[in-house]
Amino acid sequence: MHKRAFFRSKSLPYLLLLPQMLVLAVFFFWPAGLAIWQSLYLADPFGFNSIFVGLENFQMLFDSPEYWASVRVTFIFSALTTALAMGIGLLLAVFADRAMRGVLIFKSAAIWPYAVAPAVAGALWIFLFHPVFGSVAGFLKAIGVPWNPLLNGNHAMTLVVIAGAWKQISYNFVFFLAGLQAIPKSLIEAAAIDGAGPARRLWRVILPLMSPTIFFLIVVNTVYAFFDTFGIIHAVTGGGPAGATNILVFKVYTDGFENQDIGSSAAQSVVLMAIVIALTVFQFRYVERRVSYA
Amino acid sequence: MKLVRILAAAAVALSAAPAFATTEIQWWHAFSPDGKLGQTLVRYTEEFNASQSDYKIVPVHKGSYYETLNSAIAAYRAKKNPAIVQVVGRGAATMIQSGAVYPVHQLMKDAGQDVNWDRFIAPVLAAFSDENGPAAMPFNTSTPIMWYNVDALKKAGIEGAPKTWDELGEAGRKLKAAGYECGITSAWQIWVHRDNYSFAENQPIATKGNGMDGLDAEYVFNSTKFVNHVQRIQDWVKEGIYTYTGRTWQGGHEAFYAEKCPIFLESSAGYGGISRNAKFQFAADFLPLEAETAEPKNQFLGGAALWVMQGRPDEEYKGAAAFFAFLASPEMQLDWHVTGYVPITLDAYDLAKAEGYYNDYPHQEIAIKALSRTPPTEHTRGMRLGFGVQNTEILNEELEKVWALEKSAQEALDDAVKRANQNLRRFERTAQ
Repeated sequence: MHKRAFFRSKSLPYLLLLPQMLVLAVFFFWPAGLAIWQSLYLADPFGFNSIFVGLENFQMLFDSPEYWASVRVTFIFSALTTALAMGIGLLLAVFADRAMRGVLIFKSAAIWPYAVAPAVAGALWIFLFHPVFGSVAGFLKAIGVPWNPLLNGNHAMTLVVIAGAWKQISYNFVFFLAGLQAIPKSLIEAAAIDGAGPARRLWRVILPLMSPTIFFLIVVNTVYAFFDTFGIIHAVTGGGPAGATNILVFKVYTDGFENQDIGSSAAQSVVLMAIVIALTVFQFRYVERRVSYA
Repeated sequence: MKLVRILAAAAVALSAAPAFATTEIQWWHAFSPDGKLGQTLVRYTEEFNASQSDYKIVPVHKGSYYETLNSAIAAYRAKKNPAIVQVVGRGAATMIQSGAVYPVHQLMKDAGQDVNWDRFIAPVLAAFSDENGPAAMPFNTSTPIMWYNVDALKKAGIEGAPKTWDELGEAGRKLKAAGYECGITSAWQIWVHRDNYSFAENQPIATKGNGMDGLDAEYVFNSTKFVNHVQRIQDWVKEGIYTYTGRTWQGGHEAFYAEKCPIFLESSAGYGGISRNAKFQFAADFLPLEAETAEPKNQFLGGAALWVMQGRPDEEYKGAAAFFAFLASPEMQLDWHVTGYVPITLDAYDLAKAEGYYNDYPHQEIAIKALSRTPPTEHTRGMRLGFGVQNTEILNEELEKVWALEKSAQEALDDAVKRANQNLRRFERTAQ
């Protein structure tokens, strides 16, 4: 059944689109354009001297091993954070979907972390995992794990991935739960009658039916890991040790806002924008093919 | 805005009585009003405002040091900047090069405020001076010292505070033997180990008087005694008597409070936190020296200064100058000293001594002594190196590789110098 709407006036649809377009222009195209413009200049912070340097800012980035390390770190961090946040979110949603009693308390508890500010979450994790005074760190040491995220890059990465995923689990949980509850019970019962066990029902019936939700969450979680984890990194590791958790967006911030190197920071945000656009296009072209909107 | 101004002018013209026109002067700063420092700062403005009726200083908290600096820069570009802004020490190069600053020596002269700059602590003033004189008014000034847990040292059988780095290593060994596995730690490792070690031992950090004499300076800290110092600390890390607790201050403080690291190299301004949180007897002494160093040089300061920005009406500048004179008075400086910062004039120091302040708080005198123990040399006048924040982060990264035993001291410092010098050349171009 197709619904079709027609506009009689030719200008009305444009008029209706205008507010959204204005918002996009002011909050996206204008700053993005400025970033591209600034990435071609070498400027002092006060804006008295601006030298046009062409692509030199980009050249400098691509020549720097630290920048490539940051790209690598970003992809590892994003993949791990997305996988962990979605995996646990799904697991919790499956349980919440089955639970009979106390489901409201369970749901509230699972949604809670989303309301915690990143800086507060970061401080919390530091107090648990600091190698000298952290309580969990003390436990780890007692059982013989030489835990030290201040010097060991893998430990630091583990810590920020857990902290980053922990904040996003709630969001995924809500969407997965809604997705699960939207699946007609009759389909699951039919599969059960045909002899499919719980795991098989999850893989063969539930997950394919939830593919739009999963796809949506992959996109949202990737963008989250690329940009919104800034606060966590800032509070937990500050990009260290030795750049092991220095993700691209954090580097944009430190170079631009702490160091006042506006040209390089702008060039980095342009590269970051290109990466995220490419990633999103890739997801829509190749991953979305496997999504059935039924 | 224009309408408001016209209305304001009309209101003034219409009021029959000759109104006292109070000039408001904005002061953007980085001390949260929730904290003790922020409250003290606000109290100073209130006291100043109450002391006269021509000017009203309006303090505005703009966030962290970097948020404050960024706000001021953005405001300057939009011609809406405040008259006074508090800028962190490492931002001095950016400020002096900016052309947006009204140098304080000029400001005080123009406003008719008589200032005897000779009575200021020389190395403090030098750090914020350009070739014509002081460019900014030092505000919160500190320098690193050695804090220690008296009870723990006693328990480990250590007599007296270690005076040399070798003695410090010995103390670390004894502490470890006594069960203090964390041993020695440090806050702000670049400031403590590179800057202040190099100043005390009279080693250059960069050429051209650490950049004070020109933008074409180059880092040289990979070819001084600092290399051996870093190697020694790496050996301590291997031995398990020195623990890295992070790039800033929180980790070190928590480790010190928890009685895990009994020796803590940290700012004199750490006093506020330590006095509140340490549940044991603590004391402080000078940072250790090399055994062969008979005459250590003045240390390097940290903290922030007050800068005056261009583009405000003359009346505001007169008010800013009056406020600076008020802040620099010995009584105000002594009041500020109690928060843990160093007084910026010799008169305030003399007043503190005369009032017997150091009898009760002996550790408070260490920082000022360390800052002023010799006249500044070529290598200890100050430091003015572009992209200072980024270069500090580079060295932090490289030192983390040293503590993780991935690089030797020499390798890491060579790499740090190479990376940081590229930044200096880049900064040089923006400033021309």
